[in-house]
Amino acid sequence: MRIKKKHKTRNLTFAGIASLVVICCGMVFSIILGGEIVASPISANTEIPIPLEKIIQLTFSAAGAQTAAASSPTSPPLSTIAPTATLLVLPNTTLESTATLPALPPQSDIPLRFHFIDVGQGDSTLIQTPYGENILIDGGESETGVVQYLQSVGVQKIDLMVATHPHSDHIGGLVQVLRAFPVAKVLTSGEAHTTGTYENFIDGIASAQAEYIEGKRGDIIQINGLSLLVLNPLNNQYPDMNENSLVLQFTYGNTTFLLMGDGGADVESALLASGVPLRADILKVGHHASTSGSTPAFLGAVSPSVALYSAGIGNSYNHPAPQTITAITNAGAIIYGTDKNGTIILTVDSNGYQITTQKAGGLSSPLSTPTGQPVSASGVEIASVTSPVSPGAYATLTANTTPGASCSITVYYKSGPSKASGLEPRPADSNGSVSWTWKVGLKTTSGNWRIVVNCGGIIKETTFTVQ
Amino acid sequence: MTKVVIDRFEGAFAVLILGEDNDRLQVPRASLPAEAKEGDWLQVEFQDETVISAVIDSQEATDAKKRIADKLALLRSGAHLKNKADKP
Repeated sequence: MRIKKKHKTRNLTFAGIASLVVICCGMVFSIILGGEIVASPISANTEIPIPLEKIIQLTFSAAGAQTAAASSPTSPPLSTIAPTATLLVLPNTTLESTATLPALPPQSDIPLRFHFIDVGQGDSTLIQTPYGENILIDGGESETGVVQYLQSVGVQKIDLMVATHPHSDHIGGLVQVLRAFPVAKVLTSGEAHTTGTYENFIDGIASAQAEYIEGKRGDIIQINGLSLLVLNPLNNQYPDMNENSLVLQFTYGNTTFLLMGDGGADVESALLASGVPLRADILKVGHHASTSGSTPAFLGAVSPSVALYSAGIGNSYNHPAPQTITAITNAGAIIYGTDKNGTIILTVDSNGYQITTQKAGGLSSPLSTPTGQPVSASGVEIASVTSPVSPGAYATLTANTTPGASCSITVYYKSGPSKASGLEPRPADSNGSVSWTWKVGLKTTSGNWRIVVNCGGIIKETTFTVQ
Repeated sequence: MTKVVIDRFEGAFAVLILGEDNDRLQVPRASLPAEAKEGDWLQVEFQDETVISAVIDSQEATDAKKRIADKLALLRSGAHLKNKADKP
């Protein structure tokens, strides 16, 4: 059954569907398949009417027994499905009517930790959910330290391993992870390779007796309150494996992540054409910030505040490409790369996110710590900003943070970051107050413009209006 | 001659995985046959790390594809999970 979209599908809607499964079933992993979801515009307190194509739920098995039963979301009622020793699969279920789902539960204040791990020339990301689950997305090349990193942050098991695509700089390290930790489930793009590395990887999945899942656009992987939405691949139609990468999007608190794998311009244009909402606060840039992607149209649609890329120091591949870095900077994002910053950790809660890096010094980022040891901050609040303001007038922003914290500010106009004098980095005073005053140029385009303040790695954003 | 498989292309380079021990080696893409693509197996003659000659070995690729497809089919079927309950 194909259901035409009546309205633009919204992230919240996808999250709402998956949340229902979790609310009802406790410790449940579920996949909701079939991206053709009709979503009406919703508000926070209304019920969400959503016809689904099919739902697959996978509950964790304590005893390993497996049963399969066809059903729909109304039969049996989800609320009767206990977190029992059952793998419940609901295949090929068609739901003709409109399911009514409850509104989203409030987000927790427990932080989620997003580790963008420095594995040299390769990709590896660890997400530690608020409820103690570990999601590992790619593992770099073999022997590049991902196992040691996971051990160093206390990981004892992997609840979900994701291989975005079968290139060795993404799956090589996963082979060791499969040997070193219990791994419950492995999600892939479904594309096979003919390399020994890939064969070792699938042998490793079999030996680890991890459940094997393939993701397609529209699937939702639900892990105890966190919904990973699969945006790519559609049907592995590209000759280049990079373009068939799993692309994942998720939101925690009010922070949205978009993880591009090694996806490039083909994926980007397909996503733009699909109408899927792409706006994200944090963008994991596709393919090590090479020239294969990060097109202006895509970056404009995502409009990230922070862009992360992985690359090995001194790699032969011109990663990251200078023109890609320029494009990302022009899109208004602060850039962090594992070659410059080492491992990058984002701590996300309902108030926003904090970024800590292993090494100081970002790349072409006006917010990076210039030199020396940064003074860390325990928080930052924007106390006031002049708004609205007329072109030619002065604006002032004042923020409160930890006394002595190193602070920087970036004002993003239509053309990109402002280079006005008065916006230089400076430390907070002994009361923890820091302020900047700058002239809004006479030619400044009117509109609402972003201002990003970074004190000791903690970032807060606001906007102001130029008349 | 060394059996290699093309893991991927990175700009002007091809990343090769050497058959026996899965070592990696990057070589100029131009040193391989123009029609070579990701996943192709090749018989390569090296001098140190320089490709002297490279010939596509379609039989090797076909064998690998078949062997891996069979393994993948087992994973997709969940057959590897059958004994899980027996494990302590």
